[in-house]
This record gives sequence, structure tokens and C-alpha cells, in this order.
Amino acid sequence: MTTFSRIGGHVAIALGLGLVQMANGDDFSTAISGYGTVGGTYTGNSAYTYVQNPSDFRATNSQFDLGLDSRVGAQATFTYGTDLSIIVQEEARRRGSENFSLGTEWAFVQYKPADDLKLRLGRVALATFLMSDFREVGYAQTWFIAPNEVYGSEPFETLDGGQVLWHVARGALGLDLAGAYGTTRQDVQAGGVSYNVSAKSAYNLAATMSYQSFQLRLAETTVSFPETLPLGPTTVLNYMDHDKFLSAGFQYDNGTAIVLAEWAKRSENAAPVVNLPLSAQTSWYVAGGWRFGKLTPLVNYAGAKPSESLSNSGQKKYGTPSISLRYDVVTNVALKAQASRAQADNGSYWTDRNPNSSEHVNVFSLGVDFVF
Amino acid sequence: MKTIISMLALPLMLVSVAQADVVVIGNVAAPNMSKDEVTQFFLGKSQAMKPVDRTSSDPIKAQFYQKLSGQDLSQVKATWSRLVFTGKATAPKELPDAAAVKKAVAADPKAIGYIDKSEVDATVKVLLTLN
Repeated sequence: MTTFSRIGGHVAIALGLGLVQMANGDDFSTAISGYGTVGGTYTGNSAYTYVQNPSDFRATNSQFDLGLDSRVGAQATFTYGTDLSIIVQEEARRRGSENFSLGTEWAFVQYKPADDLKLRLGRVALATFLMSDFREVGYAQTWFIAPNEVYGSEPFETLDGGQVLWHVARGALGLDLAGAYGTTRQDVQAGGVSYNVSAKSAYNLAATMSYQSFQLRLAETTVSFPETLPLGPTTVLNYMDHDKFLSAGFQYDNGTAIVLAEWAKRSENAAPVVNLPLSAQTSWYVAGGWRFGKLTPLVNYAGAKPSESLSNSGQKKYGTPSISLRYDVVTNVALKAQASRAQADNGSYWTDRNPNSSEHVNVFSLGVDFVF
Repeated sequence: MKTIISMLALPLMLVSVAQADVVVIGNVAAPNMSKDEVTQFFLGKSQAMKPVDRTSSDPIKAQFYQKLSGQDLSQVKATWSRLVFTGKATAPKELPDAAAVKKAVAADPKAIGYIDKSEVDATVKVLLTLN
């Protein structure tokens, strides 16, 4: 309740600012919009603890946990004239504890020197993968949860700095180029201990080509942060870790048929002395769906192949089939269900994966996504 | 027999009324546009022109997006959600009727809208016909 009133407070302040400014001139406009999800997940076996992202705090097991996937976000857009705008997006979800708390997902000043060129300064989403920048907006996606194998592999979510977005079009052919540079911080957990990782630098470069129903996106993201590794009881190893993702995403959507595919390669530089990276893996998914009026089933197969690294010794590749169902209740509300069958040794699903077990565990999610 | 034929014809006529031509209109100074270009503006891929929309309760809105892109209004909403919540675009303003759309388009060289073909007049230019 406190959280909701806090969001209300932020929105009220935003509205108040907007009204004051509107009174000063016709060139100023304000728009408030929001999104949210009420939903949860449970697993078919209480021996395994499920996470969407191994560095996330939100976890559940065989109890249907409504706090796992539920979130609500509000965005205020202040536009001055045609070229200048300020966008602030706050989201409440579980962040590091059982309680919901607010976090700033986006907060930037945007200047448009030309119609299809945008310059931004402030906080933006770190767009590592095809859907990273709208991953919190469930309504904008067909599935309930994007595949953990790919989307759960990047611990960093935002970037504080500058961003340039450029769109070029020729007939039906479109090209979007994006570049961002800055720093980032993220609370992460590993082995039940929480850390605040503060990166020295982060950048993201992306090129998206679109032609009619087709879209192809290529991106590179690197976050550099100081890492400290314990070598022995009294010695530690300090070095700069460059955590790099290369990704290629494909989307086809003609209004009826949907095909989605993505491939991502994570590589980090080797730590000195031990000569191994902290983590390294290749992950991917292929999904296909069909719209039957308001009902959209989607089947998905996601896989990951960890390479030898300090966080992995000898883990083999694993794969997860999933099925999801979206039902568009009205034009801004969608009801969703998702089921996945993950191996016990899946490092993208379990905080306590079992390398000695060949069993499979089902994961079920149910929720409602909305925008307003 | 005649009654049966006219009973059959009535729903057909209603269908043809519902499927009337929707035209994309712009300022009299605006250039003609291809379907691909209009799609880019109404689905937010390009901001070189300023689309003006209709309300969801107006049946012409669903017809327009179906004819333009084969998408229903939920899909259009999902597409705009991706743009709005990433700060890439602001959803088009929704106007209540054809008269308001014509007025907006006549006043702004960059504005484009859509109305029923029968409502076209000299204040605006037809840029594309969707049938």
C-alpha cells in the first residue's frame, strides 16, 4: 500500500509540474501512462528454487508466489515544443527483499535535432537483447516471461549516461541505429549474499533492420567493473572484468504468424593468474506462435551452452521447451499462462541446480498484463 | 422468394457498408504516400509525419489498422506500448470524429489522419486509399 501511494505521489508531483507548466504556455504538454502485471509462478518440485535471473533476488518454489512476477510502472512524459522532452519511469516490484519498492527504470532528457534523430542524457534501459528495453512491459510481449536462458543472463538492467537513436527509412526498409555509453550499478545476489556492483563503464551498440513484417537486430553490450576474487585465505585477486554480450535477434510478425529467434554469446576476459573468465556461455531460443482471434498460443525452445569458467566447471548444455497462451481480454488487458519443462541441471532456472540428476521440473506461471 | 433474397441481401449490404473505403488524408500540401510509409507513421517507426488517431469506440479505427497492417487493436496497442515505455514515441492524439481529423490535418502540414472516403472535402488531400 505504501508503495502504491508513493507511486501516486510521484505521479501527482509530475501532474502538478505539468499543470503549472501548461499554464505558462501552450508548447508544454504532459502525458501519464502506465503498465503492470499481476502474476506469479510455481514449480512442480519443492526441491528446486526458481529464479528468472540467477542474480535476481526474486525466487519461488512449489508455492504459487504472486510477488514474483507482479510489478507496476508509471511513466510521465513532459514535452516542450516539438524537440525537447523529459521522460521518467518508476516501477514498483520486489527489489532485494520480500517488500515491493520503487526503482527508476528510465529518467532522461531527450532532444530531437531532427525528426528521426534523438539525443538522450540520463538513465535508459540497457538494451542487451531484442526485448530488453520493454522487458518489464508484459503487455507488449506475446509470452508471459521471456526465455531465462537468454534474458536472465545479463545482470545489468539500466545505463546512466548518453544515448543516440537514429532512424533511417527508404520505402518499407527501415534501419535503426542506437548507441549508449555511461556507467551502471546493480544489486545482485550470488549464493545468497547480495552485492552492489558498480561498473566503471558500460556501452551498448545496436543496429535494427526492419522490412515489412521482418526485423533483425544485432547488438553488442559491454559492462566493465572491478572484480575481486579470493585466491586463498589471505590473498585476493583484483582485476577489471569486461562482461561482453554479442546478440542477434530475429522477429517475424505479419499480424497472424509470429516467429522469434535470438542468439547471444556472453564472454568475459580471463582473470589473471587463474586464467579463466568469471562466466561464459552461448544461449538461444526459437519461438513460433499463431493468432486465433484473441487467443495466441506460442511454443518456444530455449537452450544454453556454458563454457568453462570460474562459475562453471563441467556443466553441459541444457534446453527448455515452453508453451504460453495469451488471451486479449480487452484492448489493454491480456491474460497469460505459461508452462516450461526445465532440466534439474538448468543454470538459468534454479538457484540450486542439481548436476547429478536427470529429472525434469515443470514451471507454471499465470498472470494478467495491462497498460493504461 | 423475393423476401428470402432481400433477407439474404440485407446482411451483404451491411457488410459492404462496414467495409467502405478508408482514406488516409493529409494537408493539401502533403505528398502522396505508399502504404508502407503510412504504416511507418501510424505504427510509430518514423516520426517524420504526425499521425492523428480516432477513438477505439469508433469502428473505423479497427478497420483502418486491419486494412493498413493486418493487425487488430490489441496488437496496435502492444506495438505502441513498446514505443511509449521506451520513450521512442508518444501515442497519437485520439480525435472524436472525421470533422476533428480534417480540422487537425488542414491546420498542420505534417499531420496525417484517416476518415471514411465519403467524408473527404476540399480542405484536405487524399494521400492513400485503403480498400
